[in-house]
Amino acid sequence: MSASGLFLGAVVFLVGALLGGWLRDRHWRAGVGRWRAVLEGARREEDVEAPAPLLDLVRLVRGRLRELRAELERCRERTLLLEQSLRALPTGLMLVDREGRALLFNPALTELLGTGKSRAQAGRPHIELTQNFRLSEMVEGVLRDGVERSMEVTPPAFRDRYLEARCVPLGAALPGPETGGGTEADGGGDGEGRRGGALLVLHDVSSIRRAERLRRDFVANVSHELRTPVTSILGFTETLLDGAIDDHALAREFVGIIEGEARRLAAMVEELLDLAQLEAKQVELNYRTFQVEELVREVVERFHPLARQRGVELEGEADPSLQLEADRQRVGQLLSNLVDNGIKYTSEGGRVLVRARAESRAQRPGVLLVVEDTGRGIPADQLDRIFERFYRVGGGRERPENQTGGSGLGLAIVKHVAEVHGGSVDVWSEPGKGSRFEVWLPAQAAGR
Amino acid sequence: MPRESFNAQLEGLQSTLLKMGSRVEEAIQAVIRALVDRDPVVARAVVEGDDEIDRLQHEVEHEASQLIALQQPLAGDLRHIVSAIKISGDLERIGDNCENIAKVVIRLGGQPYVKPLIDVPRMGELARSMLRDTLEAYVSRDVEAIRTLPERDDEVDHLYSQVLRELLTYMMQDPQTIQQGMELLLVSRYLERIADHVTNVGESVIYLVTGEHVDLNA
Repeated sequence: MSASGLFLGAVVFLVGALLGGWLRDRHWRAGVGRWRAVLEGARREEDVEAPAPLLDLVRLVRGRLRELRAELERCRERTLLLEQSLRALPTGLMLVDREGRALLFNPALTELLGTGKSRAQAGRPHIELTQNFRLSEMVEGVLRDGVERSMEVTPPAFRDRYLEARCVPLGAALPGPETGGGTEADGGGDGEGRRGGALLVLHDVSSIRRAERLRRDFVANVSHELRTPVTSILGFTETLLDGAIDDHALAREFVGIIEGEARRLAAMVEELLDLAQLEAKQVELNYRTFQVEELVREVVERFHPLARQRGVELEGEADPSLQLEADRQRVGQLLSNLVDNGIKYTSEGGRVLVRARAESRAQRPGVLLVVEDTGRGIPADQLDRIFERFYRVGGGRERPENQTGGSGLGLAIVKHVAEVHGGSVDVWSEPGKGSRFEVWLPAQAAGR
Repeated sequence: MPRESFNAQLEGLQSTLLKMGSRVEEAIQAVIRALVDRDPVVARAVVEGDDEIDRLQHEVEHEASQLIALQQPLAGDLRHIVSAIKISGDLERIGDNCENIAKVVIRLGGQPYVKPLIDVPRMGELARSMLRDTLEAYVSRDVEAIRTLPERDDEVDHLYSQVLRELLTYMMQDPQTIQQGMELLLVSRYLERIADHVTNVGESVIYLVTGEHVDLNA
């Protein structure tokens, strides 16, 4: 654009100069009126008495001017469009000239790096924009040798942000902000990379990294959890085959253990499938209206034997008029998992309390289910992870003593059951004092 | 020498300082992570990284003294150069404190903590965010955001005395915890010093922009 613009400008200037000389010679005495008439002639040339070649020239110049203006307008629109796209792009971009100055960048760049407050301007050294020595060294390297580089950076301002940075050399010479073109003139520089600039591209890959970490943990956990019962089954089977089968009393005991482990395995596989379905939102919820108090009583009664065995006091209370439209069986599963956990993580003499009450959230009537225990509690830094599959407080995979074989999936299921109903789960806990889980569910199914 | 090249040199000085600042910021963050995760590998990387911070300080000093010697700068330019020297000094001290913390992590050798670390990483994160804002103020020449540095420094000081009390209680209850308690005490002391140095950097930035001498550490 700039070359053709310059060319057209030069043409216009030349034509003007020629025109001026010619008019001075031949129409000097005609005066200003005549000038105006000549120029107006472009509009109504038939009325004016002017030499034909002059009129042709005027027409030509006017035509070119119109074209130029239209071209300029198009360019402006295109620039605006490009600027808007650049601004909307979630990918961070920065164009650096060979002096290391940022010629161009978009807001995503400073947002991703968390350096927006410095309000650095285009035309300034690139480190003022990135404020990251790793990125600045990468850009400098590319400017030096023209070889593309890529790496992953984690801006210190964010706890869990991973950026994939790529810096590519730009072979073609870029105009500097002040020198404006003229890069051909210095002719020096060896190799295209040195003469050109560099383009830095930043992609946010945090969600991918998080997913990878979850998957890694999941695979590690699931193999561990599945291996434990399998090892036990294999061990007892081998002992049986080695001759223990002939000792009836012993064989009976071993087979009993094998059955228990197999059941645990089956339950775990069942829960895994269940969770996969919940996560994929493929479950059909069997919505119906039921009394919350009745459900609370059922669950508490079911867990009374376990609570007694552990020496834990278990109580439930709910308003008899409280009703909920939801998948009763799923809500029962949710409540059971919470009560089960509460009992398992509370030592003898402790107490687990189940309560339900009406509570509106965001002007939506709902039911709040609270399961509170006086157990060992959960450290604050682990609270946001306990809903992950197989996550166990303490980080270790050791089982709590006398545990009856929880799958490590209970809370993940709780969370997903609440979410498929349009509800949510909150947790408060103090290590050594106990935990409180609150599940809020909308009183009526969405869209009904 | 023409003004243009002088400006380019000033910019170069500022870029070197920012590079140093970014390294120091990462050192704070890395050492806190090493501390929380009890990770001696990360800690060792912090110790090694401190050499580069020291080298950058020498580079800043070299560039600055060259500018002074060859250009006889005045007023704003001189302030620019003088504050760069001061800032690089404080950044270098922050780097040293990070290195000290890293050495504690290495000495502790991955042993579990007597208490979960909550306030100590919080101190580190506070100091790091103070440095971030100060560096951004340095670039934008907008010092309004760092006028609140004293309050944030007070918060770090407050956390420091809290950690101190808490650790003392642990150590009095159980002499077994004394060795670790002392190390953690040192760590919080280093963090408190880091925040003080960040505040000094803030003072230098305010001096650079407005020419006024303020005492944010008062």
